[in-house]
Amino acid sequence: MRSATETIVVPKRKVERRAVPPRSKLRQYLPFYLSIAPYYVVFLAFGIIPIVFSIYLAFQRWDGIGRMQFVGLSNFVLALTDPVFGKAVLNTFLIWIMSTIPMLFLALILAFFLDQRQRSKFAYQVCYFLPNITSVVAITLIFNSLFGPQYGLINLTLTALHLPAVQWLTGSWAMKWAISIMVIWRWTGYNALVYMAGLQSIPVEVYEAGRIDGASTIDIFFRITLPLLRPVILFTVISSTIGGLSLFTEPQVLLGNNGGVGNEGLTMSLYQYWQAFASYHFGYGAAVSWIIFFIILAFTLLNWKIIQRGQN
Amino acid sequence: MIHIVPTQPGAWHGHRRSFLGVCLLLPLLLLSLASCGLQSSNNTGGKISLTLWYWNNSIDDNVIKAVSQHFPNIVLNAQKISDYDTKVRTSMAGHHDVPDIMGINANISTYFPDEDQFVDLRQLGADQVKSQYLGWKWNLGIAPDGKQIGFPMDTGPTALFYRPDIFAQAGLPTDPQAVAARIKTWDDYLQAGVQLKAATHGKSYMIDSTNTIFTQMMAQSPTLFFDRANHYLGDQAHIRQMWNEAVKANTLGVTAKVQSSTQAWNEAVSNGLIASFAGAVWMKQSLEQSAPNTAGKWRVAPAPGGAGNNGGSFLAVTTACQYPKEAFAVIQWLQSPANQLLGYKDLQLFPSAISDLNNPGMHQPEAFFGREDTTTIFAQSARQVPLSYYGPENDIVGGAFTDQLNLVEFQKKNPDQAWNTAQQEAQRELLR
Amino acid sequence: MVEYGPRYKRWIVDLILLIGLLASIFPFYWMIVMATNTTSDIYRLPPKLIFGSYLLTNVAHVLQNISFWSNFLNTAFVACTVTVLQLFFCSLAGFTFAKFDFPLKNPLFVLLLGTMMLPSAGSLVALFVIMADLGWIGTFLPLIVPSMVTAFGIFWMRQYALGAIPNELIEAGRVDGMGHLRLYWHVAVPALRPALGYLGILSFITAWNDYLWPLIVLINPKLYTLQVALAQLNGVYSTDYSMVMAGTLMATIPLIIIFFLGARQFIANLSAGAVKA
Repeated sequence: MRSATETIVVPKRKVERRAVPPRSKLRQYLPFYLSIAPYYVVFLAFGIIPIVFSIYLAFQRWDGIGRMQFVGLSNFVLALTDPVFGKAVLNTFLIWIMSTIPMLFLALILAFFLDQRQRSKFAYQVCYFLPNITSVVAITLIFNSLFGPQYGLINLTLTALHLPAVQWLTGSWAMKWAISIMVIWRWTGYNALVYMAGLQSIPVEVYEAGRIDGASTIDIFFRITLPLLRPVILFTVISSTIGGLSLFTEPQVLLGNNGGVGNEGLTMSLYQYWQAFASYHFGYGAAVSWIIFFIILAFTLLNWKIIQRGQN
Repeated sequence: MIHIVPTQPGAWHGHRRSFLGVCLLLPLLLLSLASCGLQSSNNTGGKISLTLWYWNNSIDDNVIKAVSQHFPNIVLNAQKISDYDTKVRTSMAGHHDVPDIMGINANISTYFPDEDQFVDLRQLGADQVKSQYLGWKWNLGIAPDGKQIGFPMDTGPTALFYRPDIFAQAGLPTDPQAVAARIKTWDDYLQAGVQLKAATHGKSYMIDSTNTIFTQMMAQSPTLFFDRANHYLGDQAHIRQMWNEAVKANTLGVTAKVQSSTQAWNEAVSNGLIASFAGAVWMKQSLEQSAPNTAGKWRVAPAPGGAGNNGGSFLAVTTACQYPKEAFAVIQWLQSPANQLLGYKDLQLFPSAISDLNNPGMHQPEAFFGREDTTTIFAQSARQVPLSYYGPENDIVGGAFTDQLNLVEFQKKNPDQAWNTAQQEAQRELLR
Repeated sequence: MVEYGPRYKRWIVDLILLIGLLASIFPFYWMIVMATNTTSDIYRLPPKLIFGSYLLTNVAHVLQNISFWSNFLNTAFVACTVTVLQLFFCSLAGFTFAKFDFPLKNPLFVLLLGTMMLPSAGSLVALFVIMADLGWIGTFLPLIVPSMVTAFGIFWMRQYALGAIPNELIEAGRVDGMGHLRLYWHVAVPALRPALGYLGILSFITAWNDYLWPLIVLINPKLYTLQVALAQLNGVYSTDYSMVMAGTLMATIPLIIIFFLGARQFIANLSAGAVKA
């Protein structure tokens, strides 16, 4: 697998020890700015205008076709005083806790175990990725069937084990669990592969040194692997936070645009979609999407600070 | 340790060239390939080109193919679109690539505020064929100010689907006409429901959910949530009456507490938990697909409360069309009684052309319904649907009510509180 | 290889991995079951869990209803182009952010992260109008250019580069007089191989499965991508789900192949070129 003395091939050049004339600041930094420029150019071209339009739209009333009607702060006031939106925000955070946190731990453990395996590792990787490429239509049909109250496989299994059946799609906590199960199913393998890619970059000698010092697997995991994996862990936490707080597909396919009975499965992004695309309140939807942005921003910054502090 | 192994001198140059080349050329090549496109022309060899947007199974594809034979000077570019309303609204808002002819679903009233995007079909001679179509359906395509934006396509007349075997257990009649005589009103229906629940010891329920009662009563009602002047009517007596009836069904415990269009519903109709439900003619297909094991066990009778309609679609000509007269000719032909009959045969699209309702081609015994000719019942319903008006916000406001009814049924919310919440939610929706 | 504990611990690990594998595969397996049966079979209760014999029938229906192969080629072209472009631009930018200092580096990066959180809905119309004004509607450009570099990709590459590219190698390259691009190509890219593999797979899959935006901008059915074409098969009142599943299955197989290629290339082991310090 990994050997201790990998070589890289560096083209040979005569080492020239002549004095290097001081370059101008700009010339020195130019390659860096050019390297990062493409993203900002694309964003300026295609990102800024829609953002500006969306800000403008947030103060209008618009059905998507006809004329817009200026309504000032009305959309924001309506959103912030809507108990259904409040419920959506609460649901989003609850589901995030119930799904993203277990999912990341599970992904890390799976990655660690799988990385150490010799045989059929690749087959496992393919299978763990399958949930992410299975079509959403298929996932809809399958999970709706799995969660069926009488003949769904999950309830059939529960009753066979003499456990009570769960009303997955109508009970207020059950709906959140159903969504969380779907999220964990869909994203664990994905994040496990992210961690595996990260584990690739940890050199073998580090592990060997640990073994020589008599460390057990658990010690190695906590004292060696985790700290070296920190940047990748930060990546998954941030992207899972953003992804988890924008959760949309799973509740929509399981429960419909309104988040099911009592809106118990409604998330912030689903609420926005429901208002904008299903009810044709595009101005209101734009205002809601900006409120959601600030919520996600605040929470992501919080997460970042927590992980960074851990690093120091 | 790092071992840096120098390569042959000169090898690096080769790397450099290929690398820089790749960096520069490949993106350019790919982008230039990507910019090759296909421009659509409007005039193809002296013929007129018209674009039609529709969704899968809304128009018979065989009929569409025959357009070029019937209209030799017209090329019809028919496109099936998914996520229909999103695409339509985006194109219209962007004023780009708007189709000439487009299908509109039962939510046609949501386009009324934007009626200036559509051509008034009366100016294209629609009134000449008005008498061929069901009056109430024709009326639904007319915007509040009288402009006709929609030409009738298919309809969704409602009736009662029921299980005669379970009815028999409850001592209820089993023959469709006998059922109609026994269950004339919604109150009759609920009473029969009490009887059925007792007789089957709670193994079967008369209806799937309270919302079905509410929606089906709405389908039969001449007044809904708005009047033509767009006044909100959601707090008035007629809505309250429908609400009360639905709540009563819950109070009497005659519902199976199963929402329609869910997996749970499929399960319930498959195993006899649901003994009947009122629904539109297109529920036949849903039933056949979701409960194939109950084939032969269902019948159809006139619904309690009378005739109603739920669903159905229209065809419209947009103002982007440069050849509105020709477009209307195509529409008229696509929806001619003969072609609507073909649409029924191929896709079970229930016609809006009056002459089709009696056509023997539409009437045959159906195995799934015990060899009953269900079209007789649906046609009877179709003929008697009352004139009604759906405001643009009708469905959104209705959603507030159905959401609250769900809470009454599934989470035991107090019905009066639910009514008040529904009103507040409806008002909120209207402000957005 | 790193050995882990005594025998009994090993089978616990294997069991957990196996459960994860079965759970991941099961819905996909069921998708194949649906694709090989009829639509009524799909709704049977309890559900049918074994293969049927209708696969070819369903596949034939799919091929009758949509021009599968041209849609396939369209999708392949778009996905490959987007992936290649993303890999290049994101890794270059990520490498630069991770390993070099320059004025305003941190604010620029924070800005980039901020854009990841921006709401994307509601901008469909605005973006559509931009594309229309540029005259790009009717080509593949609207699908490629806005996606050719993403904040997500740069973030991922930067995080990976922080740990994976040893500073000594950069110093060595500098000493040898390498410019930025050469450093990128000779030092960064080999070290970033696993990350590139991962991002490549991800970009490809995202581009392959993209649905709503292609629906909006692709006017000509000849340019339709696979997901748009498949979505057409859904009806409003009834859908032939077994046919849709067969089509979806056909559309998913290339993704698995890409995963094989990408993963073998980058995530699995390569003896030459892997950088370990």
